[in-house]
Amino acid sequence: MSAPIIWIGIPIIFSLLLFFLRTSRLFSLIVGGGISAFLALLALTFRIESVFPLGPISLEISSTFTLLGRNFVITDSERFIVALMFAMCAFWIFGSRISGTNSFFVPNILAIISLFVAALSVQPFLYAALIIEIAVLISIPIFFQRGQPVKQGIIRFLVFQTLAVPFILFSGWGFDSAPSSVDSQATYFQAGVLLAIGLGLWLAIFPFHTWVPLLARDGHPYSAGFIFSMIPTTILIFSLDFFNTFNWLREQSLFLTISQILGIVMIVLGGLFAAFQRELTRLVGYAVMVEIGFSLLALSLNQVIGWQSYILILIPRIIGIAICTLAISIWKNKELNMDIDSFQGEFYKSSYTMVGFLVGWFTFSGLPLLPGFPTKLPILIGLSQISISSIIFVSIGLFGLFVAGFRLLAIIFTTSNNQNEIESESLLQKLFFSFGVIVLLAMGIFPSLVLNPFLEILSAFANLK
Amino acid sequence: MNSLIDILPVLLAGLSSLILFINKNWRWNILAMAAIYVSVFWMVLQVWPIGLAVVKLIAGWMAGAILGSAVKEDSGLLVDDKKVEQRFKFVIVLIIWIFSFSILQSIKIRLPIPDPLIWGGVLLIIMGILQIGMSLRPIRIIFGLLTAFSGFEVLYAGVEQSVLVAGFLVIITLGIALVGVLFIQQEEGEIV
Repeated sequence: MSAPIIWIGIPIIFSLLLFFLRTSRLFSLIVGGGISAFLALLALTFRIESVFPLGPISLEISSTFTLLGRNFVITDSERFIVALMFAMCAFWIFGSRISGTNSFFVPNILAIISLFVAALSVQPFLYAALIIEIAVLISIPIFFQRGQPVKQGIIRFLVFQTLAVPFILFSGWGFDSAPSSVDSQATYFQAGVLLAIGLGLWLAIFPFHTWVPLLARDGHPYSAGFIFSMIPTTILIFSLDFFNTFNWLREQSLFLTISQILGIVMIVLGGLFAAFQRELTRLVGYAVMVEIGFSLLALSLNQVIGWQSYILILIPRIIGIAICTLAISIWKNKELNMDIDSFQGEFYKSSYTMVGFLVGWFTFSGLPLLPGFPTKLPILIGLSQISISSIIFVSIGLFGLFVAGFRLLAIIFTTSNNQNEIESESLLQKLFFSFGVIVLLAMGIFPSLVLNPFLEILSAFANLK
Repeated sequence: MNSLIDILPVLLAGLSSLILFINKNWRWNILAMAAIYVSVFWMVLQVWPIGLAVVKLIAGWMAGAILGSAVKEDSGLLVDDKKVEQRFKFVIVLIIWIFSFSILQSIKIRLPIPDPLIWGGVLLIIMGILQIGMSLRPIRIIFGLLTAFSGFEVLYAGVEQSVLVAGFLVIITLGIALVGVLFIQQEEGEIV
């Protein structure tokens, strides 16, 4: 038995099975969520390439699976990435019970997560671009909503993600051929430019960011949230492979400067757009822009503190996006007007949902006691050592997120006389939001205890420690 | 100097992508898609063994068949062409062809692959992107994506001959076509 069969093959088989049984929603949710949680636990507890005595027999999980001459390798140091992927998959699947996603959601996201694991384990790692594209294609049905035509956001997402693939593949070819090239510096540079464009399209980096707010508005909010959290997470981890493998990238000050500038632009744009945005669905899209901006800043530091923040910032982001988009899905299912002014007195009607959304939102804003603070602070400290003016711009972006949050806060407590009815929230709803809020608070208050174990992910990238 | 037999697939790619771009007749579109994949197969044949190159032809034709089978006779997707629009698109294509011809030399320096592959690949990519940029209907954007992706496949075939990559590219081509079918069905309110 090999690790890729366990963490790629088995979930893909289950996702195929669940695809045909998708109309039995509860069954598919329990099986899909259960298998994801089981695989996450398995990744945390079983060591790869070690022998386990099981009574009279012994079991060994090998790290490599060969397919058509190419290897899929999940080493012991990559177990934590796999565990993170499947834990988040379980989190998203269980949350889908109350979000009102379509029947494609559970089987498709199980397949998507398996493909993401495949993308991170395939060698040569450049083939990952093709596997990620397959995952993107599988993700399209989860956005569809009953009785609605295909909207611009979904199409633009598909187009941008598909156009990224050629850039990534050619950049990989460029990096591979550069050492034997006559003008290796020029070849490296061209490969670097292609990589930057490819990553820009994938991660919605300015000026390719337009699909993010559109998808937040046009797709199902919870499905869009899944894409906003899991695609950047996978691609950011995949990008680490580039930085780990090609020393040239880490040594290029120009590349790091461009990352820094683009990161700042993303944060400022996202923050300012959020501050002036009236539609709640698009707000999360702008928060995602800010988050990706912070990842770029962490990358641009090119220091241990930067790489650590690069990993740590991913974890609260996933949970923050999950509870924010779940809250929006619930409000959308109740056919509430998504204009921020329509949320007058909403706190009294759906307290758990609102608290969940606010905790998620202020996590993006970097409010102290929430995990956005301890994960973003090292990036800001690192940045301040390079340039103080950058900090001012980043602060403007974060201030924009705060303004959006406080504006919502001011509206939700406002009541008029005829708006004091209390709607009951389901037990599952209360449990899910309470769990999300408690996890985020625990990460924010005890970051070294809850978040630092995730730094094990970095052990898979020997040159970045 | 390239022989005529090497240039022919480039001409076929240009002509079929032009028909796909300016003609909205559903049957012509599917035929043009099929012709594009014939040209892709023909071009890739210069660098790949026939057994591997034929995979691209079959995958492309299957994609066309998948899309073709999804449209009904009474579908709202069947739209008439407007002469003015067609003329405008033709002029745009001419400009784009001149532009793509002008950048060929600089690509040639960077990509060590036969000239016809560069010409055909760049032509298809540019026509695909043009189609994506000038269309609003989801299905025409799918045609654009397939065209652009086939152009990339031609270029990438020159530098990579892995069977696994060929397999993944087939899955992606078929996946884009299937997404196109989903778009058609969602437009007609048949799924979810």
